Amino acid sequence: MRANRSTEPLTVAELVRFGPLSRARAFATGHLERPVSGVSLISELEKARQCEPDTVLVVHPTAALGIWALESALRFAWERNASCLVAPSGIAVTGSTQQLAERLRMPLFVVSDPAKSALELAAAIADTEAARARMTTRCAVLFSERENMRDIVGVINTEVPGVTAALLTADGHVLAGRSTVGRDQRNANGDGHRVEVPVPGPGGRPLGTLVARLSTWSPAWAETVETILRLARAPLAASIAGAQLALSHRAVKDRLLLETLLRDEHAAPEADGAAPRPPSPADEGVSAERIAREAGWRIDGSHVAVFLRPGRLDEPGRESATTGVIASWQDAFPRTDLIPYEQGWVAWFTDNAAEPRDVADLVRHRLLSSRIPLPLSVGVGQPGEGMSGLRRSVAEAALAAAVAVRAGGGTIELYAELGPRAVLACLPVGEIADAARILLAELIADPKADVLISTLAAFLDCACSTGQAAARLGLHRNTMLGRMERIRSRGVDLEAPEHRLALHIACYALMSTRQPT
Amino acid sequence: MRIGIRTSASTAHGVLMDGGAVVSAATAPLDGSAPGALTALTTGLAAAASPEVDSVTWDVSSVLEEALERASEGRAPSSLVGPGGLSLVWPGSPVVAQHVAAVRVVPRSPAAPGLGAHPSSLVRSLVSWRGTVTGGHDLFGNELAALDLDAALRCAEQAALAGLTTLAITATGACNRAIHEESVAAWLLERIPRLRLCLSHESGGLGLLEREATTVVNAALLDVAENVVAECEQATSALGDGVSCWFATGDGGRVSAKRLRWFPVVGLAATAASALIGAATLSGSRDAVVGLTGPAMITVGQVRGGLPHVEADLPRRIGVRMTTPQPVLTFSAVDPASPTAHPLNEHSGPTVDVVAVLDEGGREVADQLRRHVHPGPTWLRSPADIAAVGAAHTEASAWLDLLIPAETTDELDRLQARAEQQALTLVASNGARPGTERVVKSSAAAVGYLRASLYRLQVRATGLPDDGPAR
Amino acid sequence: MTATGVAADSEAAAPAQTISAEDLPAMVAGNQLLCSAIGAAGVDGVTVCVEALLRRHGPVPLVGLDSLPDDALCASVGAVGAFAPLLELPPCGDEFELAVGALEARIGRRLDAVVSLNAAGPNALFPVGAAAALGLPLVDCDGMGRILPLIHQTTYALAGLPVTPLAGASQTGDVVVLDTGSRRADALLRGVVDASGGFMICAMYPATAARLREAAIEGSTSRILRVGGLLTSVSGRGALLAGLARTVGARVLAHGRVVEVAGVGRTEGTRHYPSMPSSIVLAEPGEAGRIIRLEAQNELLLALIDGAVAAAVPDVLCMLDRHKLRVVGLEGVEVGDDVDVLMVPAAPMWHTEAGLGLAGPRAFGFPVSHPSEGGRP
Repeated sequence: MRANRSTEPLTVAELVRFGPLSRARAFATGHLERPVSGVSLISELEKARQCEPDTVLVVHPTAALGIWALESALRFAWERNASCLVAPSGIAVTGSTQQLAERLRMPLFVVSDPAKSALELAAAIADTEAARARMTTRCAVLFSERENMRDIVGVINTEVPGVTAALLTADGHVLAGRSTVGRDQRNANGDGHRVEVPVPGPGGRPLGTLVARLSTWSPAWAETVETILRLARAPLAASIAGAQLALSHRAVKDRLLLETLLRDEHAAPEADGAAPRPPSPADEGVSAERIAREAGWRIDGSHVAVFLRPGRLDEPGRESATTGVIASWQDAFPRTDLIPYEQGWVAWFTDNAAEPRDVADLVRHRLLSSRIPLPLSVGVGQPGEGMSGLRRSVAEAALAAAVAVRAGGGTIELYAELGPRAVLACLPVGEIADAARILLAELIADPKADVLISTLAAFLDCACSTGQAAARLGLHRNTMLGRMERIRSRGVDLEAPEHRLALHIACYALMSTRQPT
Repeated sequence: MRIGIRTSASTAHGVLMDGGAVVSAATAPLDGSAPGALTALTTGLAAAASPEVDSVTWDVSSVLEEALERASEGRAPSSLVGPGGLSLVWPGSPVVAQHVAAVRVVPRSPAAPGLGAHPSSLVRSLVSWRGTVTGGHDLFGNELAALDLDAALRCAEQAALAGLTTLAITATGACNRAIHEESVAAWLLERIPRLRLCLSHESGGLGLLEREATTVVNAALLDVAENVVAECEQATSALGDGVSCWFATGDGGRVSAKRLRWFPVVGLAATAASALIGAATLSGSRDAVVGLTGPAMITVGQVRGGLPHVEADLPRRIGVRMTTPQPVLTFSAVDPASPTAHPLNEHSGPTVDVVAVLDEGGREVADQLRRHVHPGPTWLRSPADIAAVGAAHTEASAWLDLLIPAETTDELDRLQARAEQQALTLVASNGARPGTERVVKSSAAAVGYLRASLYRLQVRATGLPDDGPAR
Repeated sequence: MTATGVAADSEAAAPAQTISAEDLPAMVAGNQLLCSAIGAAGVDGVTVCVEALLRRHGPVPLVGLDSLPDDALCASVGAVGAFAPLLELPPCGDEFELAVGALEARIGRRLDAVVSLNAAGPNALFPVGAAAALGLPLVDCDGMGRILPLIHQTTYALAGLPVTPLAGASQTGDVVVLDTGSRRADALLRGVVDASGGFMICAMYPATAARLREAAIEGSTSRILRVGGLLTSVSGRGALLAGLARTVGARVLAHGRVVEVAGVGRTEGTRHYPSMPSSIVLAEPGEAGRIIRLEAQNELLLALIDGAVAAAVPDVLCMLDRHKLRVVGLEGVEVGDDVDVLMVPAAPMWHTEAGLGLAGPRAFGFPVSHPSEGGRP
């Protein structure tokens, strides 16, 4: 499962800060600046020998035969220049293993379910932009929660990996943040890994400069950091003015407000990958609701959420398209706000009689048929009552939109009709299909490959019951057995339970990326 | 306050302790020139005590070891009354361990003479008569052969003809099932009540030869212990009724006078164990590597959690492996002619946290080390004898070494918990204040190369400080 | 032993001619180097038994395979079972005659010489006792060159010699004769051994000298005597290591201080660990010191240095105390011990594909390559 993007990869630190490794027990964390471009999940120790450079080496419990095997995997990871090692929690890491990880400068993470972590990592790595967007969003949320400039700059220093930031006056005096950043500025010949953003004061006069020093530098990363610095400007200015809500920019305000409003939604789903947040005072949510009401948002009653996102996975980022999309939306639905959120935009219809299917029809009719700057994929959630219902509906709509993206622009998916399939939306099916074509090369080479893959999928769907699968496919039992035999003869081992999940996912990926015939 | 006394055949070193502090120290020669020297020592030390002395703990291991050495040199065993009615007792006269009869309970007699011998020359010299009784169990507790009680009686009668009424009885498998040893004992005592029997399962541990050595040595020391314990009790009782009398043991614990009378073997190696405790007490460190110096010799041991690090089955200074625990020690010679060429000076040699003088002549070695070893360990320069200090600080203890079959982890857990309970009970019966007992080590190691699951359990328990009278 | 003596520089001398009771201390010391840290504390009862037999029957001739006629009948003698039962019940001394006698009765022919099953640990001594008791010469060879857990993990089996008929005798005097396929022999025998208390003296692999020449590791017993000579006479660490390198090709993999002993309850206040030490970790001295992990299942099987496999079964791994110059066993290893980790290469037969298949790391459940396989699985 390799990322095939041309954008430069994530670092281990980012995966720890806001990605799937945030909940892992970590060792040798002084070396997190390694780039990550893929995931290698090994179920046999010797397979670690073939681990690709710059990948996360994930050790399946079947390969983790003891602490020695873990140390051996650390060694292979080091020899192969892997980014870090992820190991199952069944093995107690002792002092010497930690010491070895330090010696090899190989970060080691212990997780309860390596296979699940591998999937999450693959998804995060495949979607680097989204991962960075999530970090940006998270910073924005935290900025909005901080009231003084020291705390706001502190968010950058604690949340953005490998970055130290400070707010400096024109003459280099440190107003907030790490003084080392300022010292660097005086040494004008510093390493050059710096991003600077001017910060306006209360009266419009320049107050100073927000400066960030990057331990690693790349154009996209610098851009991300700059975005974060820019996001910090308004809260900084606001904090200085002493009026937190004196936000100048409507979109940022709406977005921050929505983030705050939906924040519980972040922590709830397991696969979300967001870093755990500090528990927030209960009254904060209440005050967010009050602000939302004051802003004219409808948060009482029954809501149906709609989630819009760029119609194709490889579409450029949402930021550039936001203005056009919001303008189109307001043409179509003048009474309903569309708010930037995560990888797309969110709106909701509040009407006790609103039916998801009606909403979908409306959106299709008014929006998708009109002139919009880019193809959109749309997800529609189930109706939800009040604030908690809205959170759920938004989450459902986002999942449905993720499924819709698979089918290309202009598709609308209803969460209600997806069922558990929604979870599959998170899989990077393209990459999995690539891998599956290699894994199942023999099967795919068969002239009847499509039939056999469908048969295999049905067999796995029916919990390996040939009888049920035959009934489902409308086949005679003997035909079914014949096909199974043919599948086996093509090198597919159906007897090993530990292979079944991988096979199942491979079939799903192949079937969802199948060219229309 | 507590008194600790370390005695040898010729000298007794005493110390009065108030908690971790030395109040006073004294030394008494025991060459027989001054009758009542031990009592003079205890009363002299107690004179400085305020409040009163609670306990006197004796380290008599030197006396016991010297008695064994004399026996292995072929000296005649001690009798309480010598020629001309003179009292040949310690202190004043050197004592010698007595000869015993050894009986093995095994499925078959050795195929040839010599095959049933013991590898230790000490044990061979202590055993004047040896016999075999058919019987014994395997490690799983299965009977290997039916017990031949008549043969046991014949052995006892023949030993008695050789003038031996003290028997050391060792049955194979008794570490797990002691029924054959107990049956032999019951059978013999019913018929020959004057016999004194030592049974190998009482010391526990794995290994027929190791357990036999322990049992033989124990039996050989019974008379000596009787004499020594009586003298120590008398010197203790001079301080008044409320003062309890204890004996330091090789595991760093202490036992009552009654227990040492019956089980003197536990008193061996008590000097090293006490010295380690003494070094820990005076240096204030509960975990340390301790170097003990003697003439041209440094002995290195470890203190962990305030107790000496001990193991069973270690070879003894007296040349035999026994199942009772003793401190794990390394001995290194220090060449007085070449003061820099000693083990503490080597780059990778043992690191020592605390150095104390153990024996006469050790002060010079310690000074020598002090000048040459860097970075410096803590140097204890106390006028008090380090083993006497440690003896005063010992507490009641217990050591269990069992072999148990267990098919499941649950069963093992249950049996181990039972063994721990048993060890705690032993600590209490050895004089610990109820409720102060704690387990300091409890291990179960699987016995390798067997299909069935067999575990060797070792449990060490100790009591917390309590100075009430012995129970 | 009259010919080789025990001096450090004797390994070039002619093969040993006889083994007498006076040679036993060297044999006891020497066999410990090759027993992969199991039972290194020694078993006194075995020494007592073999010494008594040698004193009673006189020294045993130690002969090379080449000196025997092609059709001379030999059988391998060795103990099967555990150390604990042996500690608890030393042999009576007639088990050798019982076992060999039963084997001879089964095949209808008298033996001409005794061969070692594996000249390491107590099994280095038992064939000497057997040869003494039976009045036969001992052939200077064995089938393992170390300790391995199964009776068919031998170069004998690699060369195609059948392990049966096999005869065993327990200390209780029970005698059993097994006639079965080689792979089943171990499983069947273990059942009998457990039932008879956990230990048996066995005679197996009946074969002619001609067949043994292709199957045996030669010079095994004299090698142990030379190693024992070094261990009992050499006083300097450098001289000892140099001697061991010359005698058995021993190589120091690393040295360091034991920092972790896992799998055995040696820590205060700890509940049980249901096995012998299964993992020992050493740290090399110094800031940049490497981390050495030794993995064991009864014996030491695998050495990893900084996570990389540095040595593996069937090569012999052992720990040598750097100060006492004694072999350190798994029973006695302590945190803080300062040891050299030595690797004694196994006989070339063990490094073949078949040899590694039978007794390489994968045969013990370690899915790793032996270093001699060049890193390919």
